[in-house]
Amino acid sequence: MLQAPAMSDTEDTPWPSRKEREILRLLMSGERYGLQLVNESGGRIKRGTVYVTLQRMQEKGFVTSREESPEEVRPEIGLPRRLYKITGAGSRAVDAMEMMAGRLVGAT
Amino acid sequence: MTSAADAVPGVVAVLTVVATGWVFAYLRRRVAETREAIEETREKLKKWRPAAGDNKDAWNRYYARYTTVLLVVLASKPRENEIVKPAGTTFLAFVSIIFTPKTVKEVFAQEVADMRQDEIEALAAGEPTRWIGIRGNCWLWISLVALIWVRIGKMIYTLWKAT
Repeated sequence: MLQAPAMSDTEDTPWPSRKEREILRLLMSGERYGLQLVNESGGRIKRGTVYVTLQRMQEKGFVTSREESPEEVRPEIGLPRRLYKITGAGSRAVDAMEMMAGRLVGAT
Repeated sequence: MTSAADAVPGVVAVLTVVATGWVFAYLRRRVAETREAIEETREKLKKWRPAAGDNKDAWNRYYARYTTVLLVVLASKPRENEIVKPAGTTFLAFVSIIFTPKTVKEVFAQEVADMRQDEIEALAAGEPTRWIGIRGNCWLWISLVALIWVRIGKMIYTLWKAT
């Protein structure tokens, strides 16, 4: 019988939704801002919801964010971007998902 | 001794004079701009102007064209002394009233930055920016509608808890 992976240190970590999993996968390769995530997802993440999702993920502890420093801000845009980075809980969630997917593939 | 209440009619009178002056100055500017637009339209439509002996239909067509061109000129003419604000400035000011600074900074300001980036890229490529502005504003309003329910819910909960 298929069993959920042992996640002693991730028991308290909430399970990410499909959109959150997509964002976490993209953030595994480094820090990014919302528009970069939308462009790299190939249409799977929508513009109207990406920032709301990121805000929710931050509350869940999957990602952290920082504001661009004044030197990094593009003067023609005039607003600082918020760059998102995956946290330990976020990468543990991705690992758990991959482990679960591997077991499902192995079971079939 | 005069109280603060005694000074109110004087303040109201001063404000009324200032507001009236501002309205008159604005109307004078608009009249001057409209006159200029009429002259511009007349020049543009000189070749369409019928001869004195032409029939009524020819004149009607001419006046219809005249009115259309005049409206287009008036609508597209940049107003005198108008300061062009960056895209999304008014929207950000509006959402700042309703939402918390955290939400404004993390959601709405980021979407406005995306819209500005799109506009800059379009301008650099020599493409029209009108549709980018419309699309960007659509995304902004979608986010606003998605978040306003949460805000209303939180406000109701706070009120309920307080009572």
